[in-house]
Amino acid sequence: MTSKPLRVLVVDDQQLVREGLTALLELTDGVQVVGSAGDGRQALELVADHRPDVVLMDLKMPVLDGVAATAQIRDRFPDVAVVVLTTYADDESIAGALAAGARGYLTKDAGRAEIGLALRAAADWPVAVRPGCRRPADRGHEPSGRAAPAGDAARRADPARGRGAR
Amino acid sequence: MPARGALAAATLVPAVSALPNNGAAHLFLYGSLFTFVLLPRMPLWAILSLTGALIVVLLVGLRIAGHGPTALLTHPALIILVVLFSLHRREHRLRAEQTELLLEQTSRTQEAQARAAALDERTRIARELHDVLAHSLGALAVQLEVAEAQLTEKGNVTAAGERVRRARRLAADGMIEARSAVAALRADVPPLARALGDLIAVHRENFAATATLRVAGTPRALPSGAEVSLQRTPREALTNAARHAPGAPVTVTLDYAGTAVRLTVENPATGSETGPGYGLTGARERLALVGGTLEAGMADGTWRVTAEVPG
Repeated sequence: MTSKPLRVLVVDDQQLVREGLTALLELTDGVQVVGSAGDGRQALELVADHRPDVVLMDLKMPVLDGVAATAQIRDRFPDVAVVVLTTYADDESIAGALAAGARGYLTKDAGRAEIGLALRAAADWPVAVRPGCRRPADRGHEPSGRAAPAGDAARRADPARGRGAR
Repeated sequence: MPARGALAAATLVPAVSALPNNGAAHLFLYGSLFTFVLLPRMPLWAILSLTGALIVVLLVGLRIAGHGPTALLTHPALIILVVLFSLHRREHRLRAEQTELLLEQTSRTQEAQARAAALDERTRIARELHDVLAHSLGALAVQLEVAEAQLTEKGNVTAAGERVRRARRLAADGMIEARSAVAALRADVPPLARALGDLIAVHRENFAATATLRVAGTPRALPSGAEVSLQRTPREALTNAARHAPGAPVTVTLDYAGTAVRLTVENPATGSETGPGYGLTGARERLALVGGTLEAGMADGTWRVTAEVPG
């Protein structure tokens, strides 16, 4: 990883998961955790303050859940990537989050390398979503194209694209 | 129907001409007429037409045979009586068939409703077990991943050991919660009060402390997610009470209020309490997912933890 550190915001309602992911990401090369939030509303405030490259977003949270927060981030901060985090790969909310604009999803049992790869892949998928460059069709097609994952590789946020970008 | 009606007319009308002089012909005629009226879906107009034709043919036959007025009245009257009796049986049979059909439809509807209810219940149970396990297992996986990273990346055994201890606690919590969730789903009566009674008995025995349970209001069933969340709070609060105020009396109050169920754990404050630790934080997070709240703090020399869920 030679590029500048990837700035990540961790969002999860469980303190132990937030702390754990933060510790894990801080042990990962090329990743810098800029903050952590316990629900979607806090996440929006921290995104506005820190403008992270990627938000690692839990789905089931009180106050404002991950799907709604993802949609708001997509609308208000289109250059901030969202990767959703779930315990089970068959969580029904994943499709909702991808439709709301998440660029991929990870399960909580993902290894450190896998998380790093997924975050990098999501951040390196910028061309279509930079303001002014986005085609109208992108919003509907790109995320929903990922809503039908197949096999283990699909739960990463397109690592192949990530590798190709580096 | 017309074909059968025509056939009946073709058989009965000639037969009736032999009626006056033949006893067997009476039986044949009345039996056939009865069967004809009761034929499924035989229209009323066909029955009336045949009856009319029979009477006309009969009257002509009787007249030709030189019978008197008695016979001219009696035979048609008998035919009319047989037709009326047959119509009565026909009506009775139609009603019985309709009732049977209605019962069958009702039974089918009830079966469909029962199937839908069972499916709803299964979906609810699956979702609640999913949520309960996701909470503990997700955090557990993350903690173990951090522990491994601490060991392999940093060689930091102390930090890894701390993560493993948290992971062990998460696993233990997960097992208790899964068991509570299954118990809550299985029970016909709200198991909360009984679960609290068990918790308090264990606390009393382990810490030789006075512990009391009070229940206010009328116990009612809560969604199992809310039951599990509420049970976690006293578990954590009693553990804290034993740590910070060993041997001090503890009071647990379960209050079934109008639109919420409130659970309070109180014990004399010792000043060593430092606010919610991981245990109560976990309990608060779990309560928040079912729309509940948790407050912990000191007032008038009493350390009080209050959990509340809507319902």
